[in-house]
Amino acid sequence: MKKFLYPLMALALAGCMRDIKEDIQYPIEQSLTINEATGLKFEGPSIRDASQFNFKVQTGGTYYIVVKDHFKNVISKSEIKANIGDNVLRFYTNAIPDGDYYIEFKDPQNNVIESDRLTIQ
Amino acid sequence: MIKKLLIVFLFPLFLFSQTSTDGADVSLEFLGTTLDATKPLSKVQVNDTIVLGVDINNLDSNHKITYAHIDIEYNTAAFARVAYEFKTPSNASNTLFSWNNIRWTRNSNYDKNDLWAQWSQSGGSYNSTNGWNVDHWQAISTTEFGDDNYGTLAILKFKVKDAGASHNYTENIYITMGRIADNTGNSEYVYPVGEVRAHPTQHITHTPLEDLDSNISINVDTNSNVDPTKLKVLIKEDGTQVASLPLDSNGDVTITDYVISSTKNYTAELAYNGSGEDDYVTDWLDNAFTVSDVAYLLTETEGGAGHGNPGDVISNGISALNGDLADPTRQLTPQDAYKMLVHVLGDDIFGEDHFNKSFRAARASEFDAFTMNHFVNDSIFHYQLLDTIVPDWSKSSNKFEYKTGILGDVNLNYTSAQATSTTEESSPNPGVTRQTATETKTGVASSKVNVSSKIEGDDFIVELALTSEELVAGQFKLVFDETRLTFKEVNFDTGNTTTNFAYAGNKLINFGSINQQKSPIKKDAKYIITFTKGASVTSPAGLFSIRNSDAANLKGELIILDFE
Repeated sequence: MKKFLYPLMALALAGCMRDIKEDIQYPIEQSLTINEATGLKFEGPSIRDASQFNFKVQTGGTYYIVVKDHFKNVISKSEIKANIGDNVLRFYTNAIPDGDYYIEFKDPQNNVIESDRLTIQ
Repeated sequence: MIKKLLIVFLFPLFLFSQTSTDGADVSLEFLGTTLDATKPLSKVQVNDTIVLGVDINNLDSNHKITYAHIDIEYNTAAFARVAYEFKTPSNASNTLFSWNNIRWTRNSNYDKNDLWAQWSQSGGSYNSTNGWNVDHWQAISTTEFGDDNYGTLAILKFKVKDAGASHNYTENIYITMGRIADNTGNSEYVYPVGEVRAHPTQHITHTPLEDLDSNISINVDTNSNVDPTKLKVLIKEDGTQVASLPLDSNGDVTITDYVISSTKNYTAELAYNGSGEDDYVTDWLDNAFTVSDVAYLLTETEGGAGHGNPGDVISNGISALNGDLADPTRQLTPQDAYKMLVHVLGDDIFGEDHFNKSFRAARASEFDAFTMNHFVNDSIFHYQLLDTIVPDWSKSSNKFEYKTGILGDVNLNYTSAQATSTTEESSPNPGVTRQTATETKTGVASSKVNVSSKIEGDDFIVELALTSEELVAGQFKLVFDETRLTFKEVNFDTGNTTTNFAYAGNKLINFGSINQQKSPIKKDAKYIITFTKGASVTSPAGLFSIRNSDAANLKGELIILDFE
């Protein structure tokens, strides 16, 4: 019976442990590193599905990612909560037709904080 | 046993001996016409001059061909030999003998393509036959005949004649016999019986087409939202399809090669030519047939959608035709408007075969001239996909021009424009234009719509909010990332008197509202679309896009939505 008791206790203790994964700070990939205090950096000149970008701000809070088509029509807009410093997120492209787009990052007052013109593939 | 095996293995060789594998081949090669070397024999017309090469192919590596005579007979009702040119070496002595009203009676003891046997062995003969001539082409050279691909011996040119409807054109130019020899040695070597074959072509058999030299083409004009390369034209001759021809980017296609007789009936039928992810319903019909069209027609038929005057709103005949979907025809009635409304609300009134049931074309001249008076007075107007092609053969060219429309497109965003002479009453939507990657729309004004999206727990939420007090109808098509999102619901906050609709496909949601109570959709109306997101999705960026939108004001006029 003992031979079952110790493993079960070990499992129970492990289950009660605090999940420490959330506290791990992963280093930012070199390609996304922004040396200035603020900025916007994508992995490359084009955005592929689930590719990453870094939005670096000095003031944390709500921001909006606005996608405009070649004719400057807004076709997508998303709200993000940004922390002070680097914010590495993924950009998904399955719902957006291939083409050239303007990507703007705006604050709640509709001021453009960062922008870039990129090809979505 | 060995004998039996030899017979079994050699039997195929015996069969092959019926055609040349050694000796020499003589062939009558078609080289097009004097005006078009690429013209296939099947397209040769009366009065064309065809070019034939008398080709000799030496298959015997032990001998050189320095002598040949080849006899060719032809029917004089069908052909007139008008020119020739020997292609033998410059030192050759060439001769041509011709006999009129003579024809070869074949030697039935030998294969008809066994050219030396036909002549040298008893059984065949030339006999008087009216309407047939024989040319005897002979050349002797001190050097070997060349090895041109075609025309080793001679090039012949025949004018094609109309021999009458009852004439049989089979084998009307025909190699009857031939002799091939090598004179380079001490004694002449004559290629033996069985080794001078007419191969691969011994004769010309072709019933010429009529001498119809008109260039015939079709042009299909489309609205800029309709890509003509996704249309094709089916040509039928006496009910049998003879061609399926895609339009080019200008809507043009040449049909000269397929409309080739003045006595047969030809029709041209427009068909959809989309491929891959192209979809007629999603790409054209559902964008043409929208809630603003319903609002426009409702305003016309009963002032039902807004503040219009029934019977005095739609003044364009093509608009009226596009909205005339229910009986009685040639009248715009509330029944038409409600049938359109049913479709937009998600109950597909076409059911199947959408292109044939909803895409329309008409002769451009008739389309341009069509007015509301023509519609009301039930003037004959062929608004269909099929037309009969009757060229004027006295003209050097015939161009059949068409314009197109889509049923349900009452405000004409996917329908050809009429010529300016008739547009004093035609354009229902002057003013503001919105161009996107997928369409161009023109309306009387624009209205802003606030859009946003965010991740909330396990959900991804998109919110659209109207800002105008003047909208009576609005419609949106939203594309979502179906690999990461699962559509859950649309919540409408549009007021108590508004009819809402929503239906979702694999990755597209079509939703909107229309108020039929002569009042607008409430200001700040909201559409909240909720999806369940995949666990790995931690960013909202790019999970949706707005593909198309549509709106109408209280007059049923089209309003351009401007998202921000």
